[in-house]
Amino acid sequence: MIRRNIPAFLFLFSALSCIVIWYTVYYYEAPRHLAIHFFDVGQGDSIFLELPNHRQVLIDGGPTNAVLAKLGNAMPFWDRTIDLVILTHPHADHLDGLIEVLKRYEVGMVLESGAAYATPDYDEWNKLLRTTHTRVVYAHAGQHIMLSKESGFDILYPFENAAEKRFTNIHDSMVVSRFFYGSTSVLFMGDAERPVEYQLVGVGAHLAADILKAGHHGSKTSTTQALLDAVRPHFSAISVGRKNRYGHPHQDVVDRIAAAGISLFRTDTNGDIIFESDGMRMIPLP
Amino acid sequence: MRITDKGQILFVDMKEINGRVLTPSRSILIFLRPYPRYEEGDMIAAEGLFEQKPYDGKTFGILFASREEKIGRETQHIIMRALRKSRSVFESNLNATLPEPHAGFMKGLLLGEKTALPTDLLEKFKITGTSHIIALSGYNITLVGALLVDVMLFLTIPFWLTFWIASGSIILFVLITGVASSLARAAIMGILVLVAGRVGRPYHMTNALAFAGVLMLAVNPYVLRFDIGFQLSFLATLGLVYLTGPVDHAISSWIARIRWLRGKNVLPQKERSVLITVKKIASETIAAQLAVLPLVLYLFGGVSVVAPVSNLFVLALVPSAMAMGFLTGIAGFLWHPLSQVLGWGAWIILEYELRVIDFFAHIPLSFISVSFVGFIGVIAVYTGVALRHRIIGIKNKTS
Repeated sequence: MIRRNIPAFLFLFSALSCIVIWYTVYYYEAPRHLAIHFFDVGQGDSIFLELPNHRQVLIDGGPTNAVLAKLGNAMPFWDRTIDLVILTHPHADHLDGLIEVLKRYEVGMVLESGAAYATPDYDEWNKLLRTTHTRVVYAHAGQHIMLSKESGFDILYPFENAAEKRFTNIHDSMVVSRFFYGSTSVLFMGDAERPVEYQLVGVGAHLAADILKAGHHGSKTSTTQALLDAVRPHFSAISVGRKNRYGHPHQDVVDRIAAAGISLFRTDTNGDIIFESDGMRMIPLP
Repeated sequence: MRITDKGQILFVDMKEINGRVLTPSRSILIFLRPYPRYEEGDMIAAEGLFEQKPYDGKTFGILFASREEKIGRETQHIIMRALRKSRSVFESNLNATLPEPHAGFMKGLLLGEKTALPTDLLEKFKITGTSHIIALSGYNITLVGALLVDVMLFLTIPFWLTFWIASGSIILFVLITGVASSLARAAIMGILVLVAGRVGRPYHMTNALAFAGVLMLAVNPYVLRFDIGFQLSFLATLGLVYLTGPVDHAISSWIARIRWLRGKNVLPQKERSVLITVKKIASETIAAQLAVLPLVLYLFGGVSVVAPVSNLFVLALVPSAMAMGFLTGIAGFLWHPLSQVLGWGAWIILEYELRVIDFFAHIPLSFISVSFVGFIGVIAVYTGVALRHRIIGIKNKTS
């Protein structure tokens, strides 16, 4: 079969090679913007950022392996590395998808609070971090993670290193961060609740941002008026599952956001949400 | 056991309930949380809410575990343990080289595993009538075997060695991937092709199919009633064997009737051979589809109209995709970069498949729902066809 059809096989092979080479060329040569994907992974958070210099950041992994297909779609097929993974807190709806990500992708660095939390999922995560020899950094306010000359993360919360500490509410160990690229920025609240928000506003943290990732899936425990006044975003994104049993997002939160004149994007109604920035302006993609 | 998006599902044989011994034993499902992960061979004590309800038609009940604990490990034979281990390494090799949904698709092709596939993709398979590629078919294994033989002969490896390597790989493949019923039949038929080539006897698909069917039913009679994969692929192969001829004939006469082709039968040799190949694939696809049609209507509640065309595009590259995936998984045991390069090749083929399926799934009216076919109807149709065939067969013999 092969011996008889050598020209056909050669043709097929060169055709495929052409496709792959041009795909690669276009990927690397296209004028690039920062892209922020709020993945629709059901009731949970998963946010993926790709910078113009091809640095990639994943914040949380959602409750299931759905994040894998989303990553497969957002990343080029040969890319098996993610530079930075941020775990905001070890609840299953933020952690579970990351476990499989850690198994399949080479992760440059993991940023988490490291707060003590005893669940089988988090045990598995810690075991995997050890066996894969992944670099782990414990987050606290004041850290800057530079991803290029003009972009990076400022860590705003927890105020001090929370590693190995016990919390009655694990949401109080939330990794809250502000991402900036040029003059555009995003505030990632994770599942932070009212006490964390008040503390951040109280100490006068640099909260102003173009996009607010509203805390705790739009629950009524979060996104207070004080926070909205301090952040003054153009857009707000809520990661939330369709017909979830918690009734997220809460109508009060939706009303507060609408009253402040902020355009709201929700993963349950919009599906995947993508924003792009050229460093000057943040634009939602349709 | 099976791992899904919502957690882990254990399939358990219940031998005793409240001190009463059950004969025969009943099978129950135990639903566990996704973590901690258990492995085959773990002994687990679980408690929770038990609901007695049928599932898949063969399950006695479901235990929703609220608390479970690992209480030990079953001592396994060293060979079994090695096989289980190599299967999970094989899978993680694919996971490490292919992104999703490609990795899940490949596991579906090679291992017949559906759980790793997103539901919207499964829906697209259904709409385009290509779900059967996920249920391993003997035909594909045959082609993978033939492909291996071709490649090795091309590399001027002597035939006797080629034969043993090819048979060995098929057996290794079955052992690694676990003996699923469709795969077992596929492998039996695939090896028969090779044996036929070696001893110089022509390979009769009818005989191979009957042999594989009898062997598998002897081992486990339940597959006949409960294994949809077995039913579908057995019928499809049956259609391939018995209906391809008539369908091919019908297509030929139909082509001959098209006016502008009339008198143009003097096509150049090359073009005619391409035409004949396309016609062959088309008639084989239609034959297989015809044979499974009644059962498909009953099982899936409808039929895909685009199936003959979409299959033409999809099936052409399935054996190469399987061969590439198999090599990718095996290379991962040896050297990761090699596995990665092979994985890129596999990715290209899978991407092609996914795009074709996506394209056909978006054609309007590609799936027509039919809801009036009952179980009795299905049996009646097949019995009728079988009887008719039998009568014609006898008539042919007597005349």
